[in-house]
Amino acid sequence: MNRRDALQRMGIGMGYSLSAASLASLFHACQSEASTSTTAASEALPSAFFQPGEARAIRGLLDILLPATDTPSASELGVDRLCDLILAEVYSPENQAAFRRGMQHFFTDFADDRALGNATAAQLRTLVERHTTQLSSAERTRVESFWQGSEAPSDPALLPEYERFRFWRSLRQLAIAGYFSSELIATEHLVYLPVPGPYQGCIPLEDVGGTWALR
Amino acid sequence: MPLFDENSPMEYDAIVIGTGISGGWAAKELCEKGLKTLVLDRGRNVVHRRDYPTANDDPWDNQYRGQLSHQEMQHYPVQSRTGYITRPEHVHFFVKDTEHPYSEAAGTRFDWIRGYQVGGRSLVWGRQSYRWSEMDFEANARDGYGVDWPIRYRDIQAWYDYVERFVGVSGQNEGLSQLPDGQLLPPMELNCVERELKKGIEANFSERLLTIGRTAHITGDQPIGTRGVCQSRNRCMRGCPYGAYFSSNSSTLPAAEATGNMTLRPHSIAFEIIYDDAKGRATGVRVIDSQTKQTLDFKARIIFCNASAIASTWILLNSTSRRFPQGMGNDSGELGHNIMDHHFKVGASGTYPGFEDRYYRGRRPNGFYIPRFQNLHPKTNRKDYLRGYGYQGSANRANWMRGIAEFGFGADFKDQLFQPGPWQIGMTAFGEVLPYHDNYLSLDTERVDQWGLPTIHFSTTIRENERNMRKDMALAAAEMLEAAGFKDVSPYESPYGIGLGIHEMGTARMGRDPKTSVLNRWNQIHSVPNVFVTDGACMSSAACQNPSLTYMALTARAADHAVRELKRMNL
Repeated sequence: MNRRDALQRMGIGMGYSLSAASLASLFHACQSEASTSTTAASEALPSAFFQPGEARAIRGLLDILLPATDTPSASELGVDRLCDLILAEVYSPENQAAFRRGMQHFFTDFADDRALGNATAAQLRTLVERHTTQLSSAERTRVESFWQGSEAPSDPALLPEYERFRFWRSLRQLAIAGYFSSELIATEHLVYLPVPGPYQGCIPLEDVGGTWALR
Repeated sequence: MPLFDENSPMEYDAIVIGTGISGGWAAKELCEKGLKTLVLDRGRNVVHRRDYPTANDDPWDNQYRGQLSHQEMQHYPVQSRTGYITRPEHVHFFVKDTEHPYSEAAGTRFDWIRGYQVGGRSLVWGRQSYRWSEMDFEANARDGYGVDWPIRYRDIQAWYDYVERFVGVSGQNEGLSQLPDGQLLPPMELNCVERELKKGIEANFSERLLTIGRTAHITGDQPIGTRGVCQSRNRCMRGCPYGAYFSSNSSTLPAAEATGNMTLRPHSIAFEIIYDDAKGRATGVRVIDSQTKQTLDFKARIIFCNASAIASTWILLNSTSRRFPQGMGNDSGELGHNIMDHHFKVGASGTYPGFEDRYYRGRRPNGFYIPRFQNLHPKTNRKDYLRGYGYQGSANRANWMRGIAEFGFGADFKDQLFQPGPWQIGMTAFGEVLPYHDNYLSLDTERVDQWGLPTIHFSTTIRENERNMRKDMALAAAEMLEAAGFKDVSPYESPYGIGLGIHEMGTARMGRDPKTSVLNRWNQIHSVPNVFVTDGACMSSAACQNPSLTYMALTARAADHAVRELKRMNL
């Protein structure tokens, strides 16, 4: 039931698979490969925010959330590095601390950073499923209230769950915003039109062929 | 620009303090009428096109994708209250609060949003341009709040025509008494879902109407001078390389320059209008050069004070003399009082089912407008509050960001985020704040800024009338969306502080009586007629329409009067 709900949600907008954007994406198989090797090199760079094991696990999570399809995966675009940079430089100390607490709750099954760094793809996938498709509808309602409210719940027993899901939402936001605002995605897989000319308010979607890259 | 240099004179026919939306108009009108005019701004020069460094930046051109670092954010504790100013593509057109401090009375806030550069906030304004109506000029007289406006709509109507033709305002005339028709360029289009809302409102509410926003952008086929047609890039706040929207930099200052009569002096902090007790008139303006720290006196026959609603009054309060120990023109004790704004951050949102196969082209820098419909006549009278509000909003299709607060992941989840999402809509009300004597600013001579000048202390808050109006603003928005067939309709109200609307006004109000007001019907200080204040400080009431167009019309009108009076040797 829940899985079906989730699939239905995913179905929104699926009717337009023959868009200009997905046609354009056929040309980018080679570019994706090129960027993969860049990522491999960047793996050696020290993180500004994450511990080494955290960095590896976060990269794994991001690629489960946004895997390679006919468009690159999150890590192929360096979204993991971008998340690390924004967390280190843009997040306030309070928000950094809250993110860390939530991340620790999220990875609570792993004894230390070393163990986390050795997490298998299957283990990470189980974690992601536990925070998405496997939630009961009661849990979803509670999580949505966590996401909408700006204040932590007054019941201390709810706090670890609250912080865990706030972390998960922050990570999703960093990942999705970072991925779709990257140059490659915007210019090659979305419809990039920096100088549109006079506004047209109601035209056939097929005349555009995808989502506008710029907001 | 003809910039002040070591050969420039120290004496002029006129001085204009400030180059924002009203100062630009004062400069243009006075120069075009032949007056040698010194135009002062406290900030750096910003030359149209040349000084728009981010105008063509894409999201990925910024390392934090449109955010400032936490360290940079420390400079903007007030500016960041807006939620949109602290973005790297336009933050350079706003002040660092750490460099320009002020204080707020305990338990109150005043959100003072400022842009200290040539062009001021005309570079970054919202561009919505509406006339006031007869009802707005009569409001104070009718319900007794504030003082009666010394002018009526007929006094300003021709000046609205005049400024609209130069500004270029796009929109649709609707023949409404509460929102007079203007000299408008072709309207921008509503999108599919906004058209549904328009139909739904017209079918269900006899007094209500939705129209496209009236905005200071050039539309249609005809450029105005060197200004081109709007390209729907929606990067306006960075400065427009096409000159498609009106700013002092793109429009009035180049017009003033073309006369050969303007001398522009940036980095000039005007802090006092000099009053000659013997002559009984103002003789000039005292300035600190922010680069050399020198104090300089400039002389002129007339002075236009257009430093902004708050800063103009700060200059007047700081201009003390034997005649005016409480600040220039402050015989009434009203100088600095009656601060108004438009209260907002309240409205409703929803989604619209259908139209999955429709979309739009362009990033329209404009939305829809629902003009005021409450307290228009006995049938629409409210028992719980006076005056009214209008809505501004827009509809669009959700993009990939809808995937954040979701429970999906993986290949299918990701691929569907490449397609446009459902249609969503949001609308926000902008309501009139009444003039209250107890909403005020004062000089704090203990706490001085880096130039040793007094800072400002604010005490402002909304009161019962505004709070009651806010309830109706949220409910009426939700009611219209529901009646028009929108789903997931949810009203909202967020915290608001006076000033956040960036329509602050009223601190040196116009009036008929020198005992209760600062300025007369021509924006002259009652007791110092060669000083004119034509920015937001002059307003006797706030109405609920965006005010810049009215400041422009009042400025052109006052400049015309000033030059006629000069010719008659009355000034």
